[in-house]
Amino acid sequence: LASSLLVAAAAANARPAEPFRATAEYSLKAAVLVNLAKFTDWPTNAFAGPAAPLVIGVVGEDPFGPALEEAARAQTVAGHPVQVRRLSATAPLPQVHVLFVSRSEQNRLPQVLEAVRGAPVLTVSDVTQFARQGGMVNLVLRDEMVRFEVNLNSVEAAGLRLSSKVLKYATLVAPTLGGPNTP
Amino acid sequence: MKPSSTMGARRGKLWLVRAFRQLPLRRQVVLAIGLACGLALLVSSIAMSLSAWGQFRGTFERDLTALARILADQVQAPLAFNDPKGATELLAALQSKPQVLSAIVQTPSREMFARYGAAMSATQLARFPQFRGLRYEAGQAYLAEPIVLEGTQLGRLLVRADYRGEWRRLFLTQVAVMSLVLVGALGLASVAAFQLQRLVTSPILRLTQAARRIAAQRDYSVRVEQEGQAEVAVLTEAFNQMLEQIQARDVALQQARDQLEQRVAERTRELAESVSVLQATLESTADGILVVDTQQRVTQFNQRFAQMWRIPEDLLQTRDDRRLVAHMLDQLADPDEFVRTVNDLYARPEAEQHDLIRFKDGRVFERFTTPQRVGEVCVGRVWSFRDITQRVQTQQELERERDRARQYFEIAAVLMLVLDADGRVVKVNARGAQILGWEAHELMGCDWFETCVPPEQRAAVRQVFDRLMAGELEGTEHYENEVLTKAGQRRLVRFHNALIRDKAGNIIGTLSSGEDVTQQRRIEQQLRQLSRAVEQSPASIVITDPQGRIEYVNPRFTQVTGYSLEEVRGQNPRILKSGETPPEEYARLWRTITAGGEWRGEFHNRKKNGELFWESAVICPIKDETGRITHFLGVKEDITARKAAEQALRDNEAKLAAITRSAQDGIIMMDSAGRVSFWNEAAEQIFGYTADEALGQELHRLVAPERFHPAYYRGFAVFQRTGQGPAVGRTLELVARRKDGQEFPVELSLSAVQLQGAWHAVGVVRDITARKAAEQQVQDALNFSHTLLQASPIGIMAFRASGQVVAANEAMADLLGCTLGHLQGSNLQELSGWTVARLQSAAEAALASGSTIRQEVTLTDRSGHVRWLACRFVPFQFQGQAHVLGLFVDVTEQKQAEAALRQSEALFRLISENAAELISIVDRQGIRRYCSPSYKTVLGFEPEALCGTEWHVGVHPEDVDRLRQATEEAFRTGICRTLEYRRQHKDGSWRVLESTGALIDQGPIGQCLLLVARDVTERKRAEAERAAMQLQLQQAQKLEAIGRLAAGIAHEINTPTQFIGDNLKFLKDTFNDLVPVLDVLDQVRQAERRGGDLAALVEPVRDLAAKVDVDYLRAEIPSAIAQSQEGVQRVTRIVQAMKEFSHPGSTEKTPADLNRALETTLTICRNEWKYVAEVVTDFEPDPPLVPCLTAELNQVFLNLVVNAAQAIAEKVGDRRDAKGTITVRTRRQGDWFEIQIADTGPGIPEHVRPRIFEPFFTTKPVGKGTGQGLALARSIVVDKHGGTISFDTQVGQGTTFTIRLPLQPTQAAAPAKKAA
Repeated sequence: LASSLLVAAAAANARPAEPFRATAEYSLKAAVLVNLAKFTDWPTNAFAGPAAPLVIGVVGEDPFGPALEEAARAQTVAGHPVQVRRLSATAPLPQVHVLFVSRSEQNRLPQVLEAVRGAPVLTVSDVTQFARQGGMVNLVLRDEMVRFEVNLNSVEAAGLRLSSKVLKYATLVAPTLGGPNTP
Repeated sequence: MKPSSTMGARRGKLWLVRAFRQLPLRRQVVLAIGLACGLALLVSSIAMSLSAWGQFRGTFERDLTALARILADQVQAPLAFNDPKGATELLAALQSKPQVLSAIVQTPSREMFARYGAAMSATQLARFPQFRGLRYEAGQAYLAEPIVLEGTQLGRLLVRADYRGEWRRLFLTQVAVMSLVLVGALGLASVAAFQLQRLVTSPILRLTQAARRIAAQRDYSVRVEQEGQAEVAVLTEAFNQMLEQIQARDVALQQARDQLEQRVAERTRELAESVSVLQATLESTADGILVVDTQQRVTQFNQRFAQMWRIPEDLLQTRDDRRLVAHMLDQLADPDEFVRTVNDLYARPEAEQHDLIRFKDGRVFERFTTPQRVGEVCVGRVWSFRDITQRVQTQQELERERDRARQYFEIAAVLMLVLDADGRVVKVNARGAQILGWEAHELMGCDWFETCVPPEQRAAVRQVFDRLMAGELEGTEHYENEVLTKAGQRRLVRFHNALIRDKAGNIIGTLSSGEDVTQQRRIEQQLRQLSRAVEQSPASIVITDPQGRIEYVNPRFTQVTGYSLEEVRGQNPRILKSGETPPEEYARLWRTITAGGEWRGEFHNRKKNGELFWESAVICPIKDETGRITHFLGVKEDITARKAAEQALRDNEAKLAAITRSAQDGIIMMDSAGRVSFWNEAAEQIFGYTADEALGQELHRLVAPERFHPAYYRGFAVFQRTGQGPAVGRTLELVARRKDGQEFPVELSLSAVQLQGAWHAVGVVRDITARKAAEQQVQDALNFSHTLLQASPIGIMAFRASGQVVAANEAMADLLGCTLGHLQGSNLQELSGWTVARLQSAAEAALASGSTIRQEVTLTDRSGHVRWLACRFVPFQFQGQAHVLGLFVDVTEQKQAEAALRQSEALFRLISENAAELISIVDRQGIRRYCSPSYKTVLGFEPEALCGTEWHVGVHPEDVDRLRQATEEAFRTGICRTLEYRRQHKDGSWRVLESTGALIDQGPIGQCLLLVARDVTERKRAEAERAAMQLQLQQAQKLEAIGRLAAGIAHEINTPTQFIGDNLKFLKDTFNDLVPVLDVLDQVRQAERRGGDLAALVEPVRDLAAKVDVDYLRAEIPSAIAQSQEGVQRVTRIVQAMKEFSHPGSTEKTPADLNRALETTLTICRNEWKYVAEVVTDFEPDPPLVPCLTAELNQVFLNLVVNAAQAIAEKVGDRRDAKGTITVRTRRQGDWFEIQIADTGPGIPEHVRPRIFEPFFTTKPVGKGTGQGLALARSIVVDKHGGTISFDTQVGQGTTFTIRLPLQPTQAAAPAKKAA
């Protein structure tokens, strides 16, 4: 049947999915995610102690695979070792510092964002218009490179500060009307 | 080498010293001071430069290091976010630092990340594997700076800078400044030196000035003032003494010069005298003379020269040769030539020249020039000019006259010929050439007499010429002689000759003008001939003046009338009158001819001897050019004999008429115009016209029926010319017409008679009406029998005993396959294909017995077909010979039908006896009447044993009813269906037979059923096997699909598994945190049990609570558990869906909820679509249960959903953020359940559309697909479920596949059941 599927695909003039492409894309995004943390300042009370870990949570289906662990291995941010946790979208979220929202949660964005609202959590995703819908940093692939759409309002509201060096790679966006963060 | 270079150096030095010494004293002093100052300044400059180098190097290092640090910090972010472009832009800022040649950013793995400027070569990079810091090499500085972010080394920055170039710039600036200072200092030193040197140099300069004045003014009375230093004072004293000596020598020299001047003045006076003599000589000559020296200055000229050239006085006075020449050139006809000559002559001073000069106004000068010599040396050139205009003009006039003469000679209308004394042609003009037929130039130099005089006259003419040359004859005489043209024709020319003499009066040739008189002579000749013709004419010719007086009669007149010319001249022709010709005839004659007309007539005249004679005459007037009648001409012929003959003829005619009048046959004569000229009494009887009525009428019009007129006139036209015709000299039967219009047959004998040059016809006509009627009766009888013969369908042929065919009819020709024409007259032997021997023997038998013989024969006709003929031969006598009449009837078809019947019977038996099929014939009572031998081989029964049994014996009891119904239906309707049934073999096994039949008429036993049955047991088994195989294949394909989906499903399961794992890890960690709490709890419990102090435990508990952050755990642990539960549920759902999907299902259709089936399919292939598309389901809210093979339909849905996802993936491509939509819709539509799967993909290209359901159709490369997907879907939906599958696609919009399944089982489903 696999062959028959291929042929059907051929008949529709489609081409087979490229499983390695997602991996390459997400290993890039994993590295960027860790580096992004390095350019972010959290308030000191966001951490239990100076050696407490900086937790990167992945909510929804994990698109990274092992790439994120590899990117985070032996990395520190302001002295905090980096830790990765995968989280269910439908259960209450634990305390994290960076929250990556998978595309699978595209339809549940308001709930996810609401769960971390006000907390010093850097919300990152590659869901379209993430930053406009109240998220902070949207990872956008452009010319094979990862760029950001940053909603500075959301970032500041969470008490975070992004390095100006990051902003160089960012398009600043404002939340769209009717978005969850609009007062 | 060494000595020479030393020598060179020394020489250089000496030269420098010498040059220095040559300078003025004042400059020497200044230069010495300047050199000393410059040297001191140079030394101090070098010292300053060395100090600057040290400072520069320190600054350069600091700058470069600072720059690298800043850059390293800047490129942190680009490195972190993998933005080589951004890094490159940052590096581009280095442009503002020109000393930085290049910079690169490397990743930790030393891969180039970004660069600026020229790339560093691999060898350059290899020099710094782990290098950090600054290094100088080959005039360039290399600096490596690590890029560190949060303790992680992100990469390294390498900078290459050109410090040497930078230093060079700095150094040059310094040198420039130094140079300026040096120049300034030197300038100041020079000014100072200049002021100081005066003190030293002023006395020496004064001495020099005095010496210079003496040299310029030759005033030796000057003396130099003495002052200053010791050395200079001595020098001044010596100088003054020398001046005094020079002054004394000057006075003596002046006296000697005065004496010399006096002697020169005397000599000059002597010279002036001799010049004046020369001048007078010049003026007295008639020629204009000009003398010019070698520098082209005018040294001498005379007044005559000035007059000739009309040179004004003032211009002469200037003595400027150039202006003079210009003035002269203006007057010349060809100034360029003049200039060229003059220049040429001046270039050759020794040359002499004599030529002519022409003026615009027509004057002509003769010019002589000779060089002017003093001793042997040329000092100039003498030109003399003489006016020869008058002489030249006279000469020209003469030539013009000569031209005119020549022109006249050429255009003269007569032949002009000049011969020299030897008779050679010197000149001949155009007309002459034309007459002679030569080109003028061809004749030049030719001997006239040899070339143009005919040979027989040559000697005579030559003699005359010689006498002319000798002066014995005068040239003015005329001669007429023939000349020969080039073409050899002769022309008569009349010559006038003139003698040509030279100045001395000697005869040197002749000038002849000749006139071509050939034509004139020819006319004269003709006239003579004409006159002779008249003289000798056989007719009498009389010419009278207008008054009728005879001027001429020819000899014939004299011969006829006996009157001579002399006798009748001046007489009137009426002397011949006999009185027989009426006077009015003469009056008419005169009227006619005086009016200018021609009169013809006959006279009955009297000869001189009194004899009467007839003459015919033509008399006409002769007119001159103006139309006036000058003479009358009479031409007359004696016709007396002719007149006598005419009378004799008339007598004969009368006799002929008497004969014809009494003839029985009609005699008719027709003249050359086609008119009746004779018509006898018998003709009157026959045609009903009287002779009066008929004569003069056109014969054809009179007696021939009108329809024959055109043919008669055509024939008659030929007859008129030739006297020939198809009817002439023959006896013909024709149709004629009587006066009363009745037509009747006549016999006509026609002959031609030529009378007076015209053809007449004589016809003898006989009325043959009665004879014709008898003939017609016979003909009718013949026609009747002929028609009978031809119309007969029986072939009839009469032939002789020899076999020669005498007569035959169309039917006979048809039988033989030939044409009637071919048959008649041919011999039986020639007719191919006949069984000639049999035919002939039958014919002979008929002849011998004299009675009719019957026989059947076969023959092959012309087209090769065999024919059966039933024959009858009848002997009969015809024209005294024995003939046979053959009657033939074609019985071929009858014979063929008989043969076909016999053949088909044989064939049926052959087929049935040898067929593998079971063939039997069953009558209406169901009794087998016939069984083929194959019953033995197929079923093991003897066919004979089966005959007579009922047909259902041996048939499976379950099938009997069905067969009975079909049999009855067949007898009733005549339609036999194909049936399958089981029948027992003799060995007891059951065989499946497939039977078909036909209703046949078996005559005596009435209608029967012919049954043909085939053993299909093996085929059935093969079909069943194939169906099973297909099923297995399908199942295998499904498993394969699941295998392919497994990766996706595994991924689906993996996600919840991952976060379940993470949560468990978290729970494990927090549990470790909680262990101390549990320990404390234990302690509390034990304390309580032991009655210990609980309060003592409060503090440790508080500490512990703070340490483990109980609040945090209380919130987090339930969350982790909830997360895990959710994950487990999701895994369960997927596993369930997979189980449902891969369930092989039942082989029978079972009612199923297709909404659920679709959901299951969507779940298991979620990984195939979730990245590219959203799935929207729009299900029938109350789905009916559809009887179907759920497992196979699942496969169809899967194919379509995956196709949709892949189509969208193709359209969406890399844009992960723009998903498509897959819409799955189900609806009940009456008795149908409809499933639609729509995508928003690119659509199906038009050329592919008709083929997508074809098996093995794929657009993929080889090995990428077998082309079964949609073909399978179609097979499942259409073949197995009796449903439909269709699609609707729009390129760029998407594709919708629609499946319709029947809610009730249908016929189409039957094969599927059977296959199962």
